[in-house]
Amino acid sequence: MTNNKYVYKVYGLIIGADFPIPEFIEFEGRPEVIIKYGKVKSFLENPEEKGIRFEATKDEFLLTVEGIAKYYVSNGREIIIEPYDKTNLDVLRVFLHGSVFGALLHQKQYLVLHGSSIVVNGSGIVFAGDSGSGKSTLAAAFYRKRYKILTDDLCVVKLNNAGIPEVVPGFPKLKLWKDSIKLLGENINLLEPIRNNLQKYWLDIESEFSKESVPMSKMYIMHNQNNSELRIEQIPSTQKLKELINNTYRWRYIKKTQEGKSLYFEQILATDNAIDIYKITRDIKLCNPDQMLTILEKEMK
Amino acid sequence: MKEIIWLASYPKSGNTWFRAFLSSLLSEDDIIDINNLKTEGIASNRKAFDELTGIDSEDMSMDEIDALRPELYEFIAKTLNKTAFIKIHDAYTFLNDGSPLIPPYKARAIYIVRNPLDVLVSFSYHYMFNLDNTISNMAREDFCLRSGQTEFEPQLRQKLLSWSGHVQSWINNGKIPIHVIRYEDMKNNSFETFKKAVEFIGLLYVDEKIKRAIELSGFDQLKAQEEKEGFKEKPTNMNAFFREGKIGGWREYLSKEQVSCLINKHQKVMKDMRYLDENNNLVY
Repeated sequence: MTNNKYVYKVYGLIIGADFPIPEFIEFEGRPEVIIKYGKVKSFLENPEEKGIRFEATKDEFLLTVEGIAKYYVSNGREIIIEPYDKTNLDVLRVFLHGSVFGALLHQKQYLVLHGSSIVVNGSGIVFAGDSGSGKSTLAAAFYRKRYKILTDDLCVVKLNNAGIPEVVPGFPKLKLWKDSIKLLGENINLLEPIRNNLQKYWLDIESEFSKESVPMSKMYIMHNQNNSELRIEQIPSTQKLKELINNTYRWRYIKKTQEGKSLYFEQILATDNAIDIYKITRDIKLCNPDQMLTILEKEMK
Repeated sequence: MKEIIWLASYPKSGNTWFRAFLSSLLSEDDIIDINNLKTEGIASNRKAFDELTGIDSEDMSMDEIDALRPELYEFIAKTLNKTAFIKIHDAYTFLNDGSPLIPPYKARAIYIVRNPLDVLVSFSYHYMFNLDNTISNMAREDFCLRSGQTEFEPQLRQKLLSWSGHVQSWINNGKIPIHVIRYEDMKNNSFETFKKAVEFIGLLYVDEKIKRAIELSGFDQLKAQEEKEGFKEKPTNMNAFFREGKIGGWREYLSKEQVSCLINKHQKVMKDMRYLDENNNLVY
């Protein structure tokens, strides 16, 4: 292991990085994952999955974001970044936090859901759903009411020693669009844009960030549908597993060894067993985050 | 042959109608469910972009996204297991490096065009722009759909150009074989118009099946289904997606000034498309 200048803890992992990642929580300890600059290969030998800008094998992942950087993730232990321009670190991190960390966590054989999560009465509640379904904004509404926040966008679920699924804390920021920030009543002038020329900002939620893992009890799948009245429906137990698989972050990245597959299914089955799942259908334009929060508070009582 | 058939049109020109017709044709039991059409969705679908590129488009600028779209469509064309019918409202445009947004690889297109005066009224209702603003939007060469940058947009930005620019961009694209149909002919001369489109696509259906699909996708049927079950593609706050669907319905809504303003801006293409006769009189 190299001597990393910056050490953080995120998703339960101690990370050592060549450059500062101010979104993460600083930590002292021996890094188990290294993030560094370096030369990145242009393609993988025999990729098992190939998209337009990514390639994956069971233990390698390559992502190219033109004009920004190439990212190479291997064995759940190392992320190498080859930037096109080293002077703009902010933009490097935008893509690091999404697809690239998603791949790392899959290589670690974690169960990664596409969702934000909060703590209600000591239980982890996950808001899953497609991009734009309002997960982060809803989490932000709960933050404003002093609920603890665990993650945004990528949600790691790990089994504890007793085999109980727990939501593992990510980092204390929520990524929000300008209109959501206004809707929530936050002062946009105090927030840092995630990258130039994009109207998305980091909302710092450190004051309400849960640094401890919390047993997961519920998952709400957020579904935005034009003109729809608000509906909250419980997913029958026979359908829960399918929903967990569907809401796994970027399932196309998952190329697992036999051992990895059994680990994934062990985790997903234990989670299936332990939690209730609901589908929320709403028209995001007709049901604002505070109304949604009030309804969910009643539901969760 | 497995290929992409682009169902291209300026908005509010009959694209959904044509998709409903195809949906009936492609289903064994003739049934059309407007909320579950059998065509493949829209080119500007953000989710498909994210999944196939591996990059969150939410974190990219609109030009960065556009730069990847040709590869996205080529990737889709290369991995098809059946012919895909994809709706598209983007005009046929080119990126800065000269490459077309919609690559010609394994691609053909049906282009649907409608009298711009009727488009104007329908467009104005759909987006709740007033008529004068819509006239000016339809004349703007830089007009785009979904170009908002302050909130999440479920679709990618679509450059429409002006109404005339849109029509010409597709008809003269020079890259993709194209079959042009007019909304008015779909209505007035349904069987022949739809049959020619079906033949262009290369589908083999007996005349009875085509007639049945035309019947089932009739405006009144689609409107009745929307009234009963709602339509997920209808924008929030709009009363109904299937509103009137009439030819020449504009006469009830537009002032003389508005009509002449629109005609002035689109005279050439209106003439080319036979919406104006040789003496510049309106045909519909």
